Amino acid sequence: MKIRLAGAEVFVGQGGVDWEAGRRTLVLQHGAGMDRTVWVLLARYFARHGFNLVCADLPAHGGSRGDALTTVEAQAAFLWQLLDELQESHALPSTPAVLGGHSMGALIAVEAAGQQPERVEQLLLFGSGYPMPVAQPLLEAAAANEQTAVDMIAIYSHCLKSQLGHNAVAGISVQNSAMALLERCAPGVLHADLAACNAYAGLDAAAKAFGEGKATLIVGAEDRMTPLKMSRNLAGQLGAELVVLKDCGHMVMSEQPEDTLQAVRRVLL
Amino acid sequence: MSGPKFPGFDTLALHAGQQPDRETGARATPIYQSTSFVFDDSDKASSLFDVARAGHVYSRISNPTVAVLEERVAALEGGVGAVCTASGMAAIHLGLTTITGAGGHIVASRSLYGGTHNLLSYTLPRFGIETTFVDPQDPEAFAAAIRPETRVIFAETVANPRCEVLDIPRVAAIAHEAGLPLMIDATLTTPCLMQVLRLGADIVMHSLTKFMGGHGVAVGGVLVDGGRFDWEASGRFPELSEPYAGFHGMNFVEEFGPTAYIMRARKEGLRDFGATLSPGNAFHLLQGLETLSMRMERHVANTSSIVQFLSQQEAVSVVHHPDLPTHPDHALAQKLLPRGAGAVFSFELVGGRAAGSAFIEGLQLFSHLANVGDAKSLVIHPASTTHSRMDDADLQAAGISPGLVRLSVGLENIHDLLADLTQALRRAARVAASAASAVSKGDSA
Repeated sequence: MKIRLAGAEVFVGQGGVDWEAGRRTLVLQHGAGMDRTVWVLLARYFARHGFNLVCADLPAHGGSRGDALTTVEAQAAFLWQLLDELQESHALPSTPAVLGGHSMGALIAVEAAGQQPERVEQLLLFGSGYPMPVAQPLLEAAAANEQTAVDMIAIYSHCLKSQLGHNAVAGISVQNSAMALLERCAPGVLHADLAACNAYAGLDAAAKAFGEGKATLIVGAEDRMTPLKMSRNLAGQLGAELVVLKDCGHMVMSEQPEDTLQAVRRVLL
Repeated sequence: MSGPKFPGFDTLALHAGQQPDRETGARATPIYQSTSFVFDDSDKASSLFDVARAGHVYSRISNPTVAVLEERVAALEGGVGAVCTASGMAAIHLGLTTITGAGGHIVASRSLYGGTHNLLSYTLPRFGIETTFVDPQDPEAFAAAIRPETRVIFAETVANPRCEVLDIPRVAAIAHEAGLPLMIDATLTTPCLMQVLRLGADIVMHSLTKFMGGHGVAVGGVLVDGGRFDWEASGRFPELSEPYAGFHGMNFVEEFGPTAYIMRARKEGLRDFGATLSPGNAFHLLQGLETLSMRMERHVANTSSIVQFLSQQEAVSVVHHPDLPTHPDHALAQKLLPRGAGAVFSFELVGGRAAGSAFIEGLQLFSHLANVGDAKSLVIHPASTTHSRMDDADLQAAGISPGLVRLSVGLENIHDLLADLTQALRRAARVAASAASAVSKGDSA
């Protein structure tokens, strides 16, 4: 569905099922340069298993217009603004939500949980770590809107097995699909996202505000974008359960869709 | 962070889409000769039907062996995904009908494989889909033929049999300016010689029967989605950007983004038209793909030698291959096809149809049959076979004269091929001389 928020169009995916009262809310926030389609299987699954799905495209991503937000704090504030609007005007039940996010989206989810902890049931984080430094060559390539930035992310986000393929979704190349998504970014958007990740320093405070023991972090053993060391640090700060998937890089949802689903099922169902 | 390196083309040709089998450790891709696949539980069953989990249901829609081939070709082309089909023609049909329907219009090159010409000229109009044919060497002609109801521009990389090279970047720009995708038949060049998606095309299809398989033992096709075309922004494709009642109200663009087109092709086209590739044929085609780049190098090298040889023969009036500076697309081919313009080309013999027949019948290594892209060298007379359903006007428009001979150069030793051509050319020359003598006597009388 498309709504207007602060004068700009925002696209919100629902997993193909309209919201209903009495269901839990699951918010899934995409990462840098991506959009809601990274959640397609998880969203469609949990939309059919008792959840109201909110998979929004951040401003300037996917089907959303407006300018890219340049800090994780601003992205988290946007998420709350959006949820307020959806609850007030679009029949999304006003219940505490499970906040999920991938990579930068995970930072947004943690920051959002820190901003309004009473509205968050638990955190579900994918392919993420803290801190999230971004290598200077990647930042520079993204600032120059060079294809090299897309190439770097595509390569370092997928383990070699995923690059070669054998996707559980018949006929789909996970790496090339990720590249196609990244290439759709308007000039400057990818850099804005990466710079936001690189600069984010608010996790300690957010984690403290949200509290421990209400988070799960699902990561790939071969993640080179947010290496396991950073994931362990993030999990430690949140007192989170850390689930490490074999034969998997940064794009856990597309590289190991079934293992990811089973990990989430154990948490939510 | 060192410079990024993707797996190379040859590595992908061997490995893409496949991991050693988890159960058995089989290194080669197993043939999953099964129509259907057991559901773990009812939740898995319903989730597969809802496209909420990944997996196989029924081999008309997807199959593990076929899926390896699909992912491998997608990787070689740089596409987001692929769907294999029962033949190349099925791939063209699936590719076009995924985004066109009654009232729709196609702009196509007039230099196409005869079977494609039939589909566009005679069969699709019965279902309300019209085609305007244009000269592929005049990119502006594509623009001029676009109508409000046009849905796709279609052409071949190198047209069979006169080897006209399509200026894909220019035609793609024209298509995109009009909010249309460019769909390309790249059968004769394969991704080894030209990756058309990287040149701006949006959809590419192959007859896998030809060079991709290379062995001539399996018929198959594939449709590949580049994933870069913005179906929603175009505004011409409600099939992809609006809810589809035939699949639980699914909006393919909203759900799948860059893979919307190829997902719709599978979820609707394979489901309803059912032109599915068998796992056995997929296995054979995978064996061929493993050696694609090595084979194409040899195909191109042999072709280059034969083109040079034929262009120096008195019995040959003209050779149509972009390797030759005399070919109208020589410069374009140098730019777009630096590794070679393929191994299928034509030439005309002095002496016309009679000389052509004598030549074909005189060949001993070249096989006279209706196929191209085999490991073995092939020859055919298009006007009486592959293009026989085209009337004289269409033949002329496609640049096919009655005496035109088409070669598909194989992988044999080049000296043996040149020897075979030499002796057959002698036969053709004798027939041509005899015919000329008869004409001369007739004139004298």
